[in-house]
Amino acid sequence: MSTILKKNRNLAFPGLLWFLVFFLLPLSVILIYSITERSLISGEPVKFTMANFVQVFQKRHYLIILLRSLRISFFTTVISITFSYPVAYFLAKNTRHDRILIVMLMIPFWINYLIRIFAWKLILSDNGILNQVLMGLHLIDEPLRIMYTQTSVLLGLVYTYTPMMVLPLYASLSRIDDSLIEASLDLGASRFRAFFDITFRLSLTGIFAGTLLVFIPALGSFAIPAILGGTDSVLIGNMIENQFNIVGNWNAGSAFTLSLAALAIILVLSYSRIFGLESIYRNRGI
Amino acid sequence: MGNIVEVINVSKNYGDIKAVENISFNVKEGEFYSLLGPSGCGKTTILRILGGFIEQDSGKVIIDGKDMKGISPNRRNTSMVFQDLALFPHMNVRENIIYGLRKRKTRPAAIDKKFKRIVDTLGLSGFGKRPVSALSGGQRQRVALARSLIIEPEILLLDEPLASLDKKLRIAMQDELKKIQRKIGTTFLYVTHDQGEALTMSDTIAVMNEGKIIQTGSPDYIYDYPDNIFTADFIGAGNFIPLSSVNNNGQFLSIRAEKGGEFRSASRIPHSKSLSVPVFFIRPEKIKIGSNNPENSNIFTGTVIASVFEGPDIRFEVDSLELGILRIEIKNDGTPPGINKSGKITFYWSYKDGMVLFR
Amino acid sequence: MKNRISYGLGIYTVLFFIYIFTPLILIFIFAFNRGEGYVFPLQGFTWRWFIEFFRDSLARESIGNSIIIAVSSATISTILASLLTIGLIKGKFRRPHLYITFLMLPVLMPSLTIGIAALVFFRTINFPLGIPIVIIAHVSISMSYVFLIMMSRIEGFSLSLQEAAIDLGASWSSSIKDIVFPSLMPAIVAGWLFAFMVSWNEFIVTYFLIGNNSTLPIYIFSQLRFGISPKVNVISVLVALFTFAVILILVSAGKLNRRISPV
Repeated sequence: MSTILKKNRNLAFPGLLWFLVFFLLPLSVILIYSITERSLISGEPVKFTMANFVQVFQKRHYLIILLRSLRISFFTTVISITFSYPVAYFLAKNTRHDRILIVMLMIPFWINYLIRIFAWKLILSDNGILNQVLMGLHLIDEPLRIMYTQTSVLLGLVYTYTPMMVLPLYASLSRIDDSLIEASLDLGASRFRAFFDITFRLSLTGIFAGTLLVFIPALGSFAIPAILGGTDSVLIGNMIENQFNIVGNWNAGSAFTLSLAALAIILVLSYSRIFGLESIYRNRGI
Repeated sequence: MGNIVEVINVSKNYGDIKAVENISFNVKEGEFYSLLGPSGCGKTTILRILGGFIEQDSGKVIIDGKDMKGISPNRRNTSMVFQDLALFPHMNVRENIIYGLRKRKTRPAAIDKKFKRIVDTLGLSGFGKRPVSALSGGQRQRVALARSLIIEPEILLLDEPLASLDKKLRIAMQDELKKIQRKIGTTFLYVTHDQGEALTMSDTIAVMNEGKIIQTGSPDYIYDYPDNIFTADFIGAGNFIPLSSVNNNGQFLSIRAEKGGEFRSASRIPHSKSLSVPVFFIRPEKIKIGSNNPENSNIFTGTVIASVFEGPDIRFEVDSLELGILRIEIKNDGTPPGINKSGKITFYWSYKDGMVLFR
Repeated sequence: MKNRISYGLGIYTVLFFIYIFTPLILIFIFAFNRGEGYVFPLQGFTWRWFIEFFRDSLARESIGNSIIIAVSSATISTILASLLTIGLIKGKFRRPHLYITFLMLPVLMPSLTIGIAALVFFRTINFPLGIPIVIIAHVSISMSYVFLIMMSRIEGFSLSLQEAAIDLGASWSSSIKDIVFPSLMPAIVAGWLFAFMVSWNEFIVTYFLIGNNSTLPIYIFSQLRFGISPKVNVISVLVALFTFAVILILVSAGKLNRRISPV
């Protein structure tokens, strides 16, 4: 066939090679760690075992952390969809200054998110700004205890990742042709129905793309729970970090890591069955 | 004038699909040659084989006496005008047009001279600095032409370049394209599915269907003497009257329609395959309305079931008991056709019009 | 009715922007506040934290490392991903969707897992931790994102552009250089910025792989643990100023670009 297509094809190989060597190969290495007992470097004979994986789902302590991570990332996603939908809708349909507002929305991303999380610590801590304001107004007598709870972790995650939801939502909403809604109203639908049947349904791809950008980082978050959370808000990310940096058990750590990766992939793939996987890259928001 | 292009027994398959099947044709130097056919007939495949973008599975392509086998597009003295025009979006008009000269390492002075000549010829003077996105459809068309013509190709390959234009602009561009071709004398090989385009511009038309060329000839010859049902149907409009018998009585053909009508024709019976069904083909404008039957014509009566006013023409659909439903087209010359209230009309056509084809 | 709704949405959007920007504004205020703590009322203007910040060699080194890592990983990642996209979408592949699905894996996994895999892999082959490894890991994370961004835009790129260039006498390589890359420039810029942002914000992967070096996020994280000096706030003021400058440059460059050729 065309020689142009053949030559173009060769351009893909450096990237594919990189992907193979620096992504798939490392993944296979931790896969080996996760199903063996000792370090591969030690030189001792390798013994295969499933014990690393079994403990993830058997030890009550680990299971609690796993479920907590799922719950918190789920709520982060739901809240961020709720928060950002009206904003995305306004940007897409009700204003002509949408481009500059989108650029403004991107500004916080350039300022490291740890600094932004630190600001939330200033706001939420016992003698923080929120409590100073509320006590100054005599709305409360003693400080609200928000800091170092799951609530503060959730607030931090929502704050950090919500703008990530706005962008793909905005992209999917602004692509909806207004004449579709007019047609639906014309055919006798109420405004409410027209919104649900047309606008909302067509924005589902945006919600899906946004969910990838919110749910997955929230599920694997480490720094936000480490800064804002207390002992009751340890998430999988912190648990994995602990396995590698404190406990030093690479085999168990690898099993945790793979479980987290598999969990994220399975959840997203089953979720994507609703939309079709290609909607991820069809959506220009990301 | 010799043949600039010789295509000899070329075939090309995509998997099980035969895109082009054993095609041969020649294009003379300076000719406007059109490949006309419905989408999927293989006409674009032929064009892309000539341009060097795909290679034929078998057969030979000879351009200016040289076998083109294994010669890449940038080494061929052909140039293609693409269906989507493929203007480079990040370059302005001038950069687009002189791209080919720059790749040929032409000296700047020569580039300037050639650029000036081509924009003058194509009426693009003063557009050089414009971004291509700021041009109208017709201007974009001409930039694409200029970009291909400036490198002075032996053959210009055009892949339905007018398809995206609206009707009025398309017709204007047809005239212009023909004029440009006359002026510069380059051989044009034009691919289209639009029979009107092919008829108005071409010196020669090759009608294609299902990967094969089924008839070649000048536009008027192909229009007046199609030698098969496909060509007759694809080019212009026509009536196809199913026949039950055709007899040659020496001077005329004595013809009997399936519905019973009997008439004569001065045409000859083309060679037919056995088991094929004869059909009488006549163009709507060859049938006249009126009862002043001249000599050597067939006269029938029928009822008008629909009439459509088309400006210069008036079109009737007439139900004739002996022939079936026919389409008749008359010139709108201001005098009302002789149709009474009941819609009954008499119509006729000359023995020398129409022909027998086989299905 | 419709006006009332859009009015309400407008107010909501303003509140949303206030919510997004309030923490940043607080940080800016305390970067210039004389007091050590973070309490109102404010105690007057000072440059003290800026001076302390610039005297802190670790902070300077961290920012430098962050810039090196973000620029190199974004550049490598954008080059690889654009070549990958052209090759995969505009080249002859038997089953492009199989490759695309595999290439999306890094997007579907938390970056932490990619960092851990890189850590274990490089320790196993006994490769020393440090900035090069961090760059490699960041490329692995961001390449798939850039690939997705490029892919959503390359659909608008018609292969006939490249064919036209070759038809007019360009070699294959100059068709890539003259036509394909410039046509995809907006997507390439968007991809680079995204990859830069991913790397600039990335903490956990860097934390595992950086060894004895430091980057901006690492520096901030360690500051957060030891008690917070307002000089940390200075960083965000500087970054914000820098960001504004970049945005201004991009916006004016974008306008300029659009005037030459609105793609």
